[in-house]
Amino acid sequence: MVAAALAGVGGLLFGAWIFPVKLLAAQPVANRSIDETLRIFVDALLPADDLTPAASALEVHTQIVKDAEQDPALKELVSAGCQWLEQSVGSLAALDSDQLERLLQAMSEADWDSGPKNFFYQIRDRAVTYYYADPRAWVGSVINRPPQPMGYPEIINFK
Amino acid sequence: MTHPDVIIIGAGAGGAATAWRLVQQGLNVLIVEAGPRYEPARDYKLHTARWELERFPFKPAAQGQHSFDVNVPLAPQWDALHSWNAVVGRLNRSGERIVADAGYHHVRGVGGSTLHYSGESHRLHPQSMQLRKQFGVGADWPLSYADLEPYYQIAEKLVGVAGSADAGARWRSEPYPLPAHPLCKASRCISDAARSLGMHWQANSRAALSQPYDNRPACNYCGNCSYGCPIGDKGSADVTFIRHALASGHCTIMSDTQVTRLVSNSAGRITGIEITNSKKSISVLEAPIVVLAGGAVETPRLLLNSATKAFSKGLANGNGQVGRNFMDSLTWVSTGMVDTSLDSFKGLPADAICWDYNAPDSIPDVVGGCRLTSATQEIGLTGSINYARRIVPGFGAKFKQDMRASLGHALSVSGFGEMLPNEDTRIDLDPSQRDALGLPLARIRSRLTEADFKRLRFMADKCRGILKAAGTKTLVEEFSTYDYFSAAHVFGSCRMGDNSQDSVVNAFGRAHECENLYITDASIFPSTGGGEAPSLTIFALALRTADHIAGEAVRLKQA
Repeated sequence: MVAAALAGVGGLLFGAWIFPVKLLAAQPVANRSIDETLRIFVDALLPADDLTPAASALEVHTQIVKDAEQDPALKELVSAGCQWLEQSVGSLAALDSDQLERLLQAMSEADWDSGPKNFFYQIRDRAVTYYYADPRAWVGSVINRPPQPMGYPEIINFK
Repeated sequence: MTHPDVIIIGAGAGGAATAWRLVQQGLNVLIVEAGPRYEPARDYKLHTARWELERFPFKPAAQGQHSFDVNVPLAPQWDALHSWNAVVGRLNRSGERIVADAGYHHVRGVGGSTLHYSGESHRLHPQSMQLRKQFGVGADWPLSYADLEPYYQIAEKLVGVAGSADAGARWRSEPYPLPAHPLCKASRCISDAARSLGMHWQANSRAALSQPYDNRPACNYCGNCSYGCPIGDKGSADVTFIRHALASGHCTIMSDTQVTRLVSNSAGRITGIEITNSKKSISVLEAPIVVLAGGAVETPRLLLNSATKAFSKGLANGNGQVGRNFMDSLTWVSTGMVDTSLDSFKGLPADAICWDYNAPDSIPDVVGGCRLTSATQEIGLTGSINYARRIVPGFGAKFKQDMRASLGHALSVSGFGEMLPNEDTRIDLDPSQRDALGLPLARIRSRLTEADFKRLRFMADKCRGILKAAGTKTLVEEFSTYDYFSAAHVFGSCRMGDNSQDSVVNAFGRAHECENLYITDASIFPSTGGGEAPSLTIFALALRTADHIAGEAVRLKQA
């Protein structure tokens, strides 16, 4: 299933897909490249739509990079994951949206012991956290303000 | 205050209630608290955009350090009880029971863990106080429900508990001070579904004001009690007992001050307490009576860390019982999605409860009951972040659409069950790990037994059955203490009892071996109850002990 999902993502090999992240961590990636790769990745996770902006418009990727500066394990994961993405697909920026979607789908379905799955899950977890902490992401949702100071007193008066 | 009549260690539920009752009787009280003070309107973040990210704002020193010994292999025959969610799948893939997040969920600060509690205010089931006598397991309380009832009443009035007239086995001498809260939509759905299965659900008794009371406003049903209540309607100890104690002029609080040792003489009398503040300066405070209220993890730690030549196993521990009989929390939660929005992020957390299986003989094949509660807000499904991280899977444009379509549709039911003491579950001093002051950490050792797994399975079956009857087509999350150690309610590590050979304190909380040392926290509980939240019972026991101490203080003054 994973392999089938990779069809059409040029240059991606199944063997590389399951490379343990730690094997790749020894080759640092330039900060600018990490920032750009993460930007594309979080925008694929959380793209713009008619109501809400893409993740990068809310600086989600830069918040993750900041976290990584304080957290050595995350820094290693981000560095290795971005390096793996760029090396595996040639250039992330060159993929169209369908290809990106297939790439993320494959990462999400990979084995939990693999680096790509770990990278996907960790970045998704942080991305959705930072994204939905911003009121600009709440447009069109029923939860569109903080719980206080108004509360929801109407909830006990419904019929 | 240079000469307090009583020093209280810990400003949580037990310490706060003790202090209030003592100052009511004219005693001067000094409370020493390891954690910080919180200013609700300033410190809690529910009015900000980042409220869900900030959660409860733990300040420096607002959580104690401790270590764990919980990692035992999971019993494969109970694998259906594992924790999972729709985003991650199985949450614990280690094959061992592990610690979830902080593991021991508590707050160190003025108000203690009541600062982040939901405020469920439960009286214990009377039968659960007589487990040994009636069922041959656990231990009996050295006092009865009738002994405690007047103190439950006082605590409920001070806190402003809102509850139903439907008392069941928990008989009452007076009604609750405030009427019960109406149920939110989600809880009505759960109650209706459960009724179709023959269960009886009712309004939960809650330390959240259903009307303005005692210069505090009514609850506005924001759904996030555990992140800290900024408006002050929640009856946490800081806005109830502590506020009134301070107003008396007889109470002083030293916050951010850790007690490192109880100083005792060769007869076991406490002659002082050694303290260290944030600047690490050490001094000794003295009072005729000392009350220990640090909770079921830190209280035994302090006693064990106060060993002397005369008391080489630690204070009050000649019989080796300090730290034994520790009991933690047995918890199950299931969440499903309903087709029609119930606005389930709105409302008072845990506003509906089922006591049908709470008596000790309610669950087949085991002794020890449980209770079921509506739990959607309680488990944090009140904002987009938790939906996205836990129960709405996927990514991309479809994920964002799914998010908008899902909010308000989650429905959760939880179970909390009795945990009996067992030989392998206890608090002791970690032989290798120490805090910044060089003191050994408390080590939390927890093991589950076959009976615990059976109770978990019973709760799981009930929660899943209710959700199915409520119309949920798919479950999206289940969390269990089968594969995680995750405890907010901890008990028993300094058990009270009449027999000085198998308990640490007597029925008034006084240490058998230290005539001027009392304990007023949940460490003295001989049993957990069938899933009842412990705060109200801690309050009641502390008030009762305070009355006893007040009598002793008068006697000491006259002597």
